[in-house]
Amino acid sequence: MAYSEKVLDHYENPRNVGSFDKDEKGVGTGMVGAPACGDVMRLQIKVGDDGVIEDAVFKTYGCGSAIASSSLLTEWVKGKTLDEAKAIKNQDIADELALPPVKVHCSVLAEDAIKSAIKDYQSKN
Amino acid sequence: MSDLFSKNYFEIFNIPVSFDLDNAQLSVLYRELQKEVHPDKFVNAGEQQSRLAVQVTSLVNQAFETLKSPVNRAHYLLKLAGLDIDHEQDTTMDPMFLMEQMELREEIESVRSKADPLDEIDRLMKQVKKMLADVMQSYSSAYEKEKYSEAHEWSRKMQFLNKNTQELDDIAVAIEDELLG
Repeated sequence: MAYSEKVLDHYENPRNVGSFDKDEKGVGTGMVGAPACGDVMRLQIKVGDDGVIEDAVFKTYGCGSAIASSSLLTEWVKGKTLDEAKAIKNQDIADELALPPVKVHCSVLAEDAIKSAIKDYQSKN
Repeated sequence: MSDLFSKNYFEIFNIPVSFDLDNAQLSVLYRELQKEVHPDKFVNAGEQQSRLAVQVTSLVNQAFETLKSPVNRAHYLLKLAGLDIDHEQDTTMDPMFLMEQMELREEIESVRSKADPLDEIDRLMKQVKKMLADVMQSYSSAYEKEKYSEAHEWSRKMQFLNKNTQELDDIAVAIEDELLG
């Protein structure tokens, strides 16, 4: 299948790959997985005292679309409040990356990952 | 022959509806049944019979393909129990398991940088197969106790581990191809 240029760009130059210490107070960690394709995604956010996401990193084992979805999402959430980040829909990601219908589930994975990271942060703070 | 259509895949082979299954026995039963319903046997039996034989053969093949793979068999059993798992979108899973998957995928990804990659693949394959055997055991016991949502959770883990074995196989094949030039 042909990937869109934006997917290829994120796949070849993924932004913000890495990890934060998950035990740190301001860090929220989201881990999700898609059994059907075997993709695993870890997305972490670092939240400032003002409730704004200062930084975000990810590590994804999966196809190009899954990597691109999480890479794009880490770029998007930086500088956003938790509520703003929570409002990002998978369709926004799918549209931006021009994901074909069979790959839309990769953007769902990314949306679930950020939600899960926010939940983790809120349960700690 | 047409009565096979009203049977579930286990009934088609006349074996108990259970996750635990003898693959060698299933293969024998499959070959026997395949011979019995083979369209070649019905070429002189009229158009309707031979068309039916084609349909039955495809049903038998599908039943065999589903039952012989543990992942597909696990899903099929849950479907028989009434769970709708074809359209699942749930991505939340046991975080410990996902963490383990992350580490495992990291190890699989770095196989090629090892001094003896095939040896490393061997080691990881053993590890994954052991995990898979444990997960299959857990699925089986949850299923037998009719704890279907728990069984479903195990079947999802089975899918991940199954992918891991496929990935290791793929890398091994690629490395062997390169070695053979």
